[in-house]
Parts: sequence; C-alpha cells; structure tokens
Amino acid sequence: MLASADNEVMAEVRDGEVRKLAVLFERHHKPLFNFFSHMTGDRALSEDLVQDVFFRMLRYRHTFDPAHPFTAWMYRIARNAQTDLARKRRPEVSMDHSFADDAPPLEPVSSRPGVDEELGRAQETKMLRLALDRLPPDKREILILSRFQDLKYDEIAGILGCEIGAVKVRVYRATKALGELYFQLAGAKAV
Amino acid sequence: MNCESARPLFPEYWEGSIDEADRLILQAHFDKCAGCRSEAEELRSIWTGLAGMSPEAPSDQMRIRFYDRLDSYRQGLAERPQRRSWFEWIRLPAPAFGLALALLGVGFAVGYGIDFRKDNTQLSQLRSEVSNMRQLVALSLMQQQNATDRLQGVNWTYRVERSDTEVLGALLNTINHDESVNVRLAAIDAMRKFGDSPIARRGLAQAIFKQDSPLVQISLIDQLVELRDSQARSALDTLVGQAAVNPEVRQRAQWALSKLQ
Repeated sequence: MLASADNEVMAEVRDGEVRKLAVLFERHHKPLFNFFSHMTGDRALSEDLVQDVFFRMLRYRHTFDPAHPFTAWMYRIARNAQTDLARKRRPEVSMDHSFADDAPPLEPVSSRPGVDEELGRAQETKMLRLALDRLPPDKREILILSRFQDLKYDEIAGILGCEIGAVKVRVYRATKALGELYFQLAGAKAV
Repeated sequence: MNCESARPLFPEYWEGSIDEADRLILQAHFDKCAGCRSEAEELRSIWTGLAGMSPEAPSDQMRIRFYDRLDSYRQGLAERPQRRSWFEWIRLPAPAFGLALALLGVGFAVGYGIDFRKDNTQLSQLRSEVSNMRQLVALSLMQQQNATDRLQGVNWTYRVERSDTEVLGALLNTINHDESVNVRLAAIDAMRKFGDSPIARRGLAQAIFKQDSPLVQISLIDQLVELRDSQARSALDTLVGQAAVNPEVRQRAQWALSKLQ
C-alpha cells in the first residue's frame, strides 16, 4: 500500500518532519470536523477546534508514543480541546449542558398526513438529529464515536480510558436514551 | 445469559459484527425473553437510522488556514537558531561585538536608503509561501489511503513549480506503485509539466516495465511520444521484443518507434 500508517507518519512528525502533519490533516480533518460538528452543532467552532487539535498535536508531538494507536491519541486531544474551549467561552455553564436545550420542538411526523416515503425518511432523520442534539453530551459523544467515526470498541476504550465492556454498555445506554427521545418526538410509545 | 449481560451485545448484533458464539447465546436469550427481543428490534431502527445522517463537510477555507498556519509554524522553527544567535552576540569579545554593531548600523542605513525594494521582497516571499503550500498539499494528498484524495493530490501538482523535484518524485512513485489505475493514469498526464527533465523521461520509460495494466503501459508510451523523447527508443525496442507483453502494448510501442525517428 502506498500510504504510510498514521503511527509511522506521526512518529516522523515527532522526530522533526513537521510538514508531514499535512498527511494526517488530509486524512483526518473531515472525520474530526464531523465529530465536532455533531458534538457542538456549530460549524465555525468545529473548524476552529480542528485547527486547534492539529496544532496541539504539533506542540505536544514529543508525547506521542507509536506503540499506541494514533487515532486514540488524536481523539483524546480533540476531547481536551473541546473541553478547554467550552470552559474559555462559557465558564459559567455546566459541562452537562446540552446545546440543543433551546432547539424548537419539532412537530411529530404522525400529525402530518400524506407524507410520501422519501419525505418521511428525511423527516425521521431530522427527528433523529434533533434527538441526538438533545442527548446529554457524554451519551452523544459515545454514539458519535461508535457510529460516525469508524472507530473500533478497543479504540474508543483507549480514548475514554475505560474497559471495552464498559464502552459496549455505554453505547447500549446511549442508544436507548436516543430511542426514548426520538419516540417522544415522533409521538409514538417510548421504549 | 441474563438481560443485563445481553444488552451490551446489542450494538454488535445490529452491526452484524457480533462473533458467532455470542450471537448464538444472544439468540437463545431472545428466544426466552420477549422484552429484550422487542427492545433490540426497536432500537435497531434507531441504530440504522443514524447511518442516514449525512456527514458534515468543512469549508474550503479550513484547509487554507491549516496550511498557512503550518507554514508559519515551520518558518518559526527555522528562525529559532538565528534568534538564539542574537543573544549570543552579547557574549562576543568587545572588539567583535563592536564590529557587529557597526555592521548592523550600516545595514540599517542601507535599508532605509532603499525602502522601495521592501514591497518586491515581501511579494517574492509571499509567492514562495504559496508555492510551498501547493507543494505540501499535493504531496500530502498523494499519500492518502483514499484514491479520490490521491487523485486530488495529482491535480494539485499542476500548480507547483516545474523545478519541483520532490513532486516529480512523488508522481513517479505514484505511477509505479499506486493501486488505482485511474490515479496512475492521472499521474502520467501530470508528468507533461516535467517533460523537460531527463529524470522524468527516464522514469516514464522505466515505468512501462513495472506496470501490470496494459492501459497504463499504453498511456506511458503515448506520453513519451508526446514529449518526443527519442531516448526512449531503446526501452520501446525491448518492449516490442518481449513476447510476454500484451500484443496491443507491443503494437503501440511499434507505432511509437515510428514516431520517434
């Protein structure tokens, strides 16, 4: 394969080949942006956070250990960057605050007669998006990591600093919580 | 298995990534526990529904900002040894320090006398920074695992300087080793820019023998004809004489020889 593995590239950056950070940027900036975007709902903030993550990786490159997965290290930095930025911007707000608490309530799909199948699916996705936004940040995060970021459970365990079994339990609980919110929005019976 | 130990297996069950032993145990639990069975099916729709959310995409500005900042960072690193040397001047023996100050004074006088050159220097520096950025983007994209990204990297090479040997090397590497035929073909086209370089011409000729795709081999031959590279004749002669080579490729090589008289 033509492309070098992430760990090899980051080891080269650590050893002085700073420009090779660009290889990792091209590989990971979109998934990272996606992560922040799902977490914060703010595109501009998400772009700032992506920049922040890459330059923290540069600043702390001497702490990178190629014996451990690069993605776990990157996401740990990402989570710290998000926490730090949130504290700087709104120190009076608790970290448990869900940014979607102020989102307008969505009209349940069952009250809209005559919606065709495609529109119905789009509406369902929109409701799922709203439900995701309303989850507490820790539950939203574990769903984003497991469902959108193409990470294995052992990698997520490395990022969160817990056992694989605990990751699986948390993913289940987050999905259940998401289901409850979704079915409330849809006007159907909750799980 | 009880409900509490069954539930953590649901996500892998939904994904289809559950191992066979766990799947059988879970299925046996579902056969006995209607509550878990119905919950798993209901939440499966939530799990699959998440896949329907389109990924968010950043603006084009994000990449520009990154490369700009990376370039500044690298320049900052490069300047660090010079900054240290300024402090070291203080420790110079008095006569040497005095001479250094005198030279600095002369330098200031000359600088103030020819201000009009400042703008051109800054413009030249800016051009150099932009050129470095383009090179870095091209090289970085060409190392990605996704063929679409590597194709984009090849497209970026059209914006670099003709004298950029690092990009030339990366293109030849792509032609010889990329797993995607489309990316290899695009890289061959991009080599036109470097057609004056003997390294490029030799690289193209040698690449023909490393290819497993007749389409790529024909494209390489066509590129050599386009570059009017008569040095390639010996490579083409060898190709025509190899019975194992695809007949269409040999025919193309024969045609190329007639063109490169």
